[in-house]
Amino acid sequence: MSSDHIDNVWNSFRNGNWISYGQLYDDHYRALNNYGYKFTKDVSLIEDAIHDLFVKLWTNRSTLGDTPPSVRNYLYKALRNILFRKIKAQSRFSSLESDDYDYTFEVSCDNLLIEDEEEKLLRNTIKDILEKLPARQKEIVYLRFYEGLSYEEVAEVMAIDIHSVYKLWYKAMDGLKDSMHYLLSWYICAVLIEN
Amino acid sequence: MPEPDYSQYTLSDFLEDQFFIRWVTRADSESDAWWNAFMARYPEKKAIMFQASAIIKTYRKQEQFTNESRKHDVWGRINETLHQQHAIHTEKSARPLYMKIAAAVTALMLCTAGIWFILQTRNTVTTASNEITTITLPDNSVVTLNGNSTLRYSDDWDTKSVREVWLDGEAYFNVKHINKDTLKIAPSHRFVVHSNNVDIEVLGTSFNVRNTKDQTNITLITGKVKVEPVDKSVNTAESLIMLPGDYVEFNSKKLIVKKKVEKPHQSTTWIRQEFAFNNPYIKDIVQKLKDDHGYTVEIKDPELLEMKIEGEISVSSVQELLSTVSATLDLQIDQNDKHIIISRPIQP
Repeated sequence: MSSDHIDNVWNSFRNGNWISYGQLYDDHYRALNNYGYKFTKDVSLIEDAIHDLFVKLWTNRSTLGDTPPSVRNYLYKALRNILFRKIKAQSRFSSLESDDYDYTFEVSCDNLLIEDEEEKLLRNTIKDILEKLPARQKEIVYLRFYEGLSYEEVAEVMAIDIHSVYKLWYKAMDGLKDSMHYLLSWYICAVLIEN
Repeated sequence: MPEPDYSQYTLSDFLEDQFFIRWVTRADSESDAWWNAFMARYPEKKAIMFQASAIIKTYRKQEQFTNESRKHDVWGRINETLHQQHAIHTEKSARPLYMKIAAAVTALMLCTAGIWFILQTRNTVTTASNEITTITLPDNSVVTLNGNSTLRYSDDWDTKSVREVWLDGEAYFNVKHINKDTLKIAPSHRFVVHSNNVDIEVLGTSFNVRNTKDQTNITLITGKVKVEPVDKSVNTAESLIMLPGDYVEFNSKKLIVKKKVEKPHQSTTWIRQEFAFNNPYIKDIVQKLKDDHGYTVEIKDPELLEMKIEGEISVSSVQELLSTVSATLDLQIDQNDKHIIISRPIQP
């Protein structure tokens, strides 16, 4: 998507263009579901959150600013907030004194078919390491490696301080690179021989 | 921007580098060129870069949840909520007198036919080609009106009379369900769309109607509707009940096509200005371009109209549509603003 396209859609949506609003929904519906699903497997909860998000966007469109640096990130952040509020409201065990409740963040690859043995080994090792990480670190890894966000963007979406992003990121990477060296030297040999 | 010294980079440095991650996750020709040049200069870094990119790429192979099947319904829910909010909002702030006068004056000016002068409560909404508009009817039913179409309805719907609209062109109806007890149906529970040759009667449902000169096509998406041919003199003119997924075509006299469609939502893709066709003939595509988008289409050889594209087309612009058609059927398509010329390619 070109940045012109994004600018146009956002601006005409703000001016009350219903078709651009539909376009916004079209452009981001899948990604929002995918991101939301990492926090909860309750599909109807994600639907509710997306519904609320878009109703709010349209209702408040006149108060929204110019095109945010990334519309996708802006929507991620908003969805995340709505979803957390809903999950919290739903949970009977939520503690009232802290907003920083323990959330979960799960990336799944169990049903993917990987034929290549080397790749499978690498996949499982990455999975084993990342699965043990706390949710925040998992989310940072996801936003960095999957969505390709910068540290600043991660801080913005997760609404945390950039220094915390660095700290959490390095913690996550520590575990990863230690176990990787040994395994990868084999993997790389295989790749290099193949090529 | 000072460039980091990548020649000193370790595995974890690469894994932390934004420029490197961008290249692995969404490479473009610029970053490709840069990194290839880098590897040529520092071949000893290749292995470690392979490792870093293998980690990222392997991580990225994960399941996606897109919930595609619910996309349309969630959108419907959003629409419904917004319309309800809108209704509450307008109820609270009754229009001031001067606005009513202004509206009446505009209506008067717009209506040229004498009959509209007499029936001042009559509303007429007409769209230009390529314009789509959404109308909220007095009962909060929502109509999305496609280009080159007209919808007429009365302004004051009371509880004693049937809700009626007159359509010329194409529209998607999302009708408010008022009836709670199917055994006691009051007149106002009924909602009737008068198309040129049939009347479509419903209680509450969503469906797409498209009429051209002497034909009406209806696709039912949810609920149930009854279709009644206007011309009762023909003995084949029987009324028909449609169920979700049903598609029918009527000409001026009778039912000519009735079938189940797999994706009834496809009939409403025009709302988002998309083009969707299933095994279309060129003539179907031409028709759509003419009727809804105000194009003129010149066909060099009438045989071309009967050419068929096997499969599904789903695109979001005229340009995309034309290039799909031209590539699939190997045709020459020239466009000059709103004029399109379709011909066989000139043989070299």
